[in-house]
Formats: sequence, C-alpha cells, structure tokens
Amino acid sequence: MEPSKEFDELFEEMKEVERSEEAKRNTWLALKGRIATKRKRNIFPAFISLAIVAIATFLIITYSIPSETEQSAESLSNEEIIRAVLEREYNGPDKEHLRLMNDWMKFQSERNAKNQEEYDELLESKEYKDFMNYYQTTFGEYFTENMLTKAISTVMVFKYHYYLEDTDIEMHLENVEIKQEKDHPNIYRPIIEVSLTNSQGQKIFHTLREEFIFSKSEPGKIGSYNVAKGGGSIEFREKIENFNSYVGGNEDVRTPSFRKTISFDTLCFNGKIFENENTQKNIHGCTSDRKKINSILKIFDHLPIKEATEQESRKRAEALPQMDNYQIYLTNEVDKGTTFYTITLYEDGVLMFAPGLDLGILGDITTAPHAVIYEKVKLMLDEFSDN
Amino acid sequence: MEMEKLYRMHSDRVYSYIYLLVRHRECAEDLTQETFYKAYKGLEAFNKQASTATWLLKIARNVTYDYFRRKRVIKFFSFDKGHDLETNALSPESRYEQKEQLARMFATLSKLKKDYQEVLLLRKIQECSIQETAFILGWTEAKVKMKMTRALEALKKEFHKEGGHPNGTIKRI
Repeated sequence: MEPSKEFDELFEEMKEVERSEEAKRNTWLALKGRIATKRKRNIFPAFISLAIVAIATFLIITYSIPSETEQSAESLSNEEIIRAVLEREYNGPDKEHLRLMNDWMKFQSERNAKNQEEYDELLESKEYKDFMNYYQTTFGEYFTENMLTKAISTVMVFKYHYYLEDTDIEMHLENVEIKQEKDHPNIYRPIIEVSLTNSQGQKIFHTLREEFIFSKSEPGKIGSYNVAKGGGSIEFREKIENFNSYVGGNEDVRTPSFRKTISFDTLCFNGKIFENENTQKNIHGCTSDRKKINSILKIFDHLPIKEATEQESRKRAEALPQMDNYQIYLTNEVDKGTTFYTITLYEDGVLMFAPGLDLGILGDITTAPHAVIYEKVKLMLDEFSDN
Repeated sequence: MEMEKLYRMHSDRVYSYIYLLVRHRECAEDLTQETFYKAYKGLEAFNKQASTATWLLKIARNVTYDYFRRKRVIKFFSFDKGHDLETNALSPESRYEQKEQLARMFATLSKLKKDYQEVLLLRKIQECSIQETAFILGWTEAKVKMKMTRALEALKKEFHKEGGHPNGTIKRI
C-alpha cells in the first residue's frame, strides 16, 4: 500500500480531538477579559482608528477655533515641532486629558458592554469621541495620521499624565537638547530634562532620550515617535510612583552660590574627549568676556546640589580618567595660576562644584544627572576653545 | 474581523492543532487563548498573505514552541495517561482495539524526527495544503513535499517495527 494512503484511517481518527463547550466558552471569556484590559490600557482599539480620526478631523474643522497663541505646524521647523510635542508631553498633568479619560472609563463601567457589538456602540458615544478629539486637537497637527493613531493606541502621548493623577506632583519640561542625525536628517534624538515638583516644593530631575522621525511623504509631520532604548522612561515612571523615596534626605539640598561669594573675571576650561577607546583629545580655552561667562554660569544657578558623600566622591574620582569631562576654572586674567572655584562636568550629566583648584572629586554634587546641561555647556565652551 | 467571530470560526481547529502538540487539555486551552490574544494584537498587521486559519496556525505553532522552550522540552504526540479518546460509541472490544491502535500510532509518531512530525501533523491531520504548510513552517513548498514523502516512509517503517497494523486490526506480538 502507498505510504500516503496507508495511515489515512488513523490520521482521520486523530483529527477527532474532543473539546468541551464549557472549556471553549471559558477560554473565550478569559480571552475577552484580556482584550478588554488591553483596550482600557491602550485607550482604544487600533482597528477603529480611521473612523475615529475622520470624525475627529471633521469635528475639529467644524468647531475648533485656534487660539491666538496657537501656531500652525506648517510654519514650524522640525525642531520647533519636536519642542511643541515635548511641551505638551512633559508639562502636566494635563487635567483636561485626565477628565476626558475618566469620563470615558466611567461611561464604560456604567454600560458594561457584554459583547463586541455592545462595545462598538460605546465607541459612538460622546464620551469616547470627546476623548479622542482631545488627542487630535493636542497632537494632530504634529503627527501623521498613522502615527497619531499609533501614538494613542500604544500610549506614546500623555504617557506619564495618568501616573500623576491623584498625586500632588507636577511635571515640568526643563531643557531640551535636540540632536539631528548627520546621515539621516529626518531623524532627531532629543535629550529631555524634566523635573517633578510636589506641593511642598521638593523637586527632582530626570533625563530622558527619545526619537522623532519625520515623514518623507508628509514633510513637517512626525512619522515615528519612539522612546529610545534605555532612554530612562521606566526610571521616570518609577520616580513619579515613588517620588517620596527620591526626595528623601533632601534637607541638605541647595543651589550653587559661588557667584555671590567669589570675585573673578576669567573663566578657563580643560576638556578631555575620548575620540575612540585608545585616543583622547585634550582641549582648553579661556575667556574674560563677561557676557559669555555669565551665560555659562547662570545655567548652574538653579541646579539642586548637595555635599558629595565619600562614596560619590570616590566614584567620581574613578570616572574622571575614564569618561569625557570638562573642568571649568574661575580665575583672574592677571593671575591665572590661582583658581577660586572649579566646576567639573561629566559626560553622564553629573556635575561637581568645589572651591579652589579641585580635580572635581570633592565638594558638592548635583542630586541628579543633567545630560542636557553637559551638552549645552560643552557647545558654549567649544566656542572659545584654543584647539 | 471581530475577535468573537474569529474565535468562533477557528478556535476548535487551533485547539486541536495545539492539543496534538502538547497532549494536555488545560494547557492546550491556555495556549489557544494565548494564540488568539496574539492574533488580536497583530490583527492590524495581518496582511492577508495567508488565509486567516493558516495565519492562526502559524501563531499557534509559535506560541506552542515558546511554551516548549519555557518548559525546555519538545515532545509531540506523547500518549500519556491523560489522553482520552472519544470512543464511547464503540463496543468495548473495538474501543480497546481502537485505542491501542491509536496509541501505537502516537507512539510511532513521537519517535519520528521533529520536522517529520510537524509536516505530518499539518498535512495529514490539519489538512493544510502544501502552500499553507510551507507558510506555517517557514519552509519552501519543495521542502514540504520532500519532507512529507520521507516522513511517510519513516512512519511506515517505524510503525511496522512497532508491530502495528494500520488497516484497523491489531497485529498481536
């Protein structure tokens, strides 16, 4: 007998796999529960996005009147668009967004849809449409339609606001340093510095890295918005949720006051940059231009600092020969051999402040890394570098 | 396509496919649930390059393999104590024969190379076409044909070595 036919009867019997209706139903109910949870988390199912965006667009065109401060995205540069998105994303909580989200959640709970048809009816509700419209009016002009849909369904926008609800914490965008990819000019990778402040005025900082890719088919619109791998997103959420742990022991936190206590007229710096694993470049420079000096030093004025612990000092001493760093010396034109104050900026964003000539391993330390400030000051120092 | 409809139409087939791989009812239900959950998440990306059923079977295979990897075991077609067949309609004697014959078949299949088992399961039990099988396993159609021929030859050789008689009667040893 042909092997292909020989076992057909047994194969036929193997097709009969018993499955009870009860088990089948239970699996469906469990699956439905998971899907409903995901929908709640993701705010709305992606497959109805086109219809929603169409409705939202119609409503916006019909009813919304742009305020005087609003500016059309068409006239903005890519960098301005990124800043505009980050302003909405990292200042909050956005109370209107939370109100609309809660209205929609409450509405869903009250109606308790039992099947897909009933859930689809909920999607026609005013609560759902108002909620979706808010995304459109807030971010619609900056994103391509597809990206906005994706941003909503994957909670890429307003991603931290939910966690700020029912807390006394406010989130504020402090600084943004936008880097454009040299080889791929449509790609921008900003370094974002954000602060969290509670009602008692206690404040912590956090640095995030994200990626914006502008659409080639729709210039001036963001076609992809991503959290960079290891960009600090999880840690930021952790800081929001455990704010008190991070501000604990902040009694000694203060801001640098050296500008008021020392007299100097010149700022010099030494920088060490690793060009590759084995080669390092040393750069240096001095300026007595008061305007330049002030514009650099005022960046440090409001940074929270505290006295470095022995462990922190040791860690910084070890980092000094291994990491890109800049040391700023405050001195006088006539006697550059005397240093009144030293500020050391490490590539990882940690800054140290010490009176006198210090290698940057004693004195005060910032309570959090400030990568944006490192990048910003680096550029300013490079302007008057001798080499 | 809405999920409930998708589930109603395809869950039995997905379940039977997974069940024959894992041979454990609760586990097969869990993996079926996982398969449809993954399908729900990927529904938007499903580009219809295969039929919905084939696409689901491919997901089911991946889900089951993930499960095996987690359990650090790949053991298809085991015929253990938990296995029960729908044999109530048969006489006690026939039921015994039927069960023994099938047990032998499962035992034989479990001794075959894994890719032989997979191709037999899809082609002969799930009734997938060559094209569908190629999609699910990520093989070329030529490879499916070649493996299928060799799998049947290996099955025949192994089955007779086991003392089985595939025409329904049992060859007593």
